[in-house]
Amino acid sequence: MNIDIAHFELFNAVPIGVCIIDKDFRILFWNKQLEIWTNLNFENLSGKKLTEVFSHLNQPKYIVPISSVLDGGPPVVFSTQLHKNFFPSFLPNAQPRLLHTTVSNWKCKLNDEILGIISAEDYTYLSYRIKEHKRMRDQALQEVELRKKAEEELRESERKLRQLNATKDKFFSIIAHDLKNPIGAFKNVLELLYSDFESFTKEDILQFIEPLQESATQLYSLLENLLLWARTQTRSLQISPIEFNITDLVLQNISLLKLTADNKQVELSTDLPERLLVFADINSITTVLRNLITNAIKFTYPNGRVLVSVKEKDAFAEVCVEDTGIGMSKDTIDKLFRIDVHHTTLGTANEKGTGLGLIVCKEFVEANGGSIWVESEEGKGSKFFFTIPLSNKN
Amino acid sequence: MVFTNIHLDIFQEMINIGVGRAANLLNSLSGKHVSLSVPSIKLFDYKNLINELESISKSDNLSCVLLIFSGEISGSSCLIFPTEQASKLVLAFTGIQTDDLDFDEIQAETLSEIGNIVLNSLVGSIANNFGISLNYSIPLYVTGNLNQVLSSEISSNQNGLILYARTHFKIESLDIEGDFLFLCKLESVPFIIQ
Repeated sequence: MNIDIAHFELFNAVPIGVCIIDKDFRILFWNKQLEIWTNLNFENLSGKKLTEVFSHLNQPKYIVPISSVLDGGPPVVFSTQLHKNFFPSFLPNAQPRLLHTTVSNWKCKLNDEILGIISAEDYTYLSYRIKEHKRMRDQALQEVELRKKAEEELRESERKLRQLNATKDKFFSIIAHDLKNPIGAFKNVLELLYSDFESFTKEDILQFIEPLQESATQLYSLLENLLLWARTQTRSLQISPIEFNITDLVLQNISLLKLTADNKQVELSTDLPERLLVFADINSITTVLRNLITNAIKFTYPNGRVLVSVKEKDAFAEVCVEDTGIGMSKDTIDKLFRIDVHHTTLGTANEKGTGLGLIVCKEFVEANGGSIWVESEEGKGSKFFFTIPLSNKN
Repeated sequence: MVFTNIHLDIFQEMINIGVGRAANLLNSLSGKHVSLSVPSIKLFDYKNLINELESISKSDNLSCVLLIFSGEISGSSCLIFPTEQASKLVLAFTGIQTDDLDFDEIQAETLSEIGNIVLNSLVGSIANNFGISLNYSIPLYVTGNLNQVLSSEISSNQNGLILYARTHFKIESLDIEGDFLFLCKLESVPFIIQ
């Protein structure tokens, strides 16, 4: 070997590790940076075979590519992730130093001999910085996520508060108008009767009593709905699902409302499966059915038709109450199930509503795990749908 | 010496062998099946090379490992794919299980080694088959669009014709697609084939 080692001394001035070997893997040069990183001095290594000093380099994954470089082949890279210890080196905290190592060749012009130049760059701090950066990024993302969740909770809480406020307003509105006015009328009529009872004939008294009776029925219905709705709001309503045949329940309700429909000359018909078992609270579903069928009769002109049908859809029974009545505009549909908008319409025979029936229906259907919706067109009639879970014994 | 169709056929065959070896190596290192298209070999001047490169990918986020060589023929060879797929390839090699597909410097460094192994196989095979010795650069990891990643090659070949070979590869199980490109100055190719 005729190469003057002094030529390589300049590699002592660079911040990377440099080792130069000959074609037999003998160490010709070992720079200061490698001495610091490995605690091995050039004096002790000079002339020794690299593969003897670092026996792991005899493994094919090292020796094959390095030999190829020494034969004039392209440079090879040993990355820190795939080769953790080309030159074993440790930090003061005993953690391994991550060295990115490249082996390339250099043809010496003096004797045409090919030498191997092994250079090592310290990637340890870069790796730490990346890990730290990722940790900070993940932490920031987590914080953003938590903040988003908190904001979402706040929005939900705000929504509930708005709903509660609307509920309170609705309650006061019902008390103020729907209850106060008819009860006020009751009081006036009764005062009149009481103060001057002797002056009225039997026929006069009957004339007073007839609208009172009608009003009392309406008030009773309103109070019943109000009570049900109040129970859904205070969560004191017990939903106790049981298994029952929805067809039987529809037929029972049809039978109860047949007289009302006949009186108004509205045809009440059904399209039902023989048996379809559902799993729901029978009392609340009875209320829903009765409300929807009563509404359908109410908004249908004489000689019109109301059809109640039931069919199986996925894991639910879908009940449809369809009428050929007055139908609704989109604007009206939007108000139907909302507690924050007061909405009531007189029936085709001026039947009064409470404005609470459909809201109660929605609460009940949803409490049973179903959903309720409407399809309607003004002048063509409406279809109210609701679903309830099927029993798994069908 | 004139570059003839026979030269083109021989060159295509050599590329085919080299890319096949590189793909086999990628296959055995990743443990995944690598499928290859038939190499397409074309001759371009500087302007048409840029047009061709623009037609391959318009992405501004490509990862490329580039090996530049000189000697009896000079040019460069590279392995190119979208950066998010580069991350998947590195994870497949290192066996690290993570959903984090961020491509950082440490992954880039690992990709340099993977690209280096594959490109050495490709260029080494071509050099051996032609019986020529070449000087090689240290493999470079470059990101950007195709014009940026091949800027050194493009700028050094503004005059004369460039022989261009492209082979598309797919590692379906990792959902990775990319290209092997081999570009060299045409002038010396007929001599080495001779």
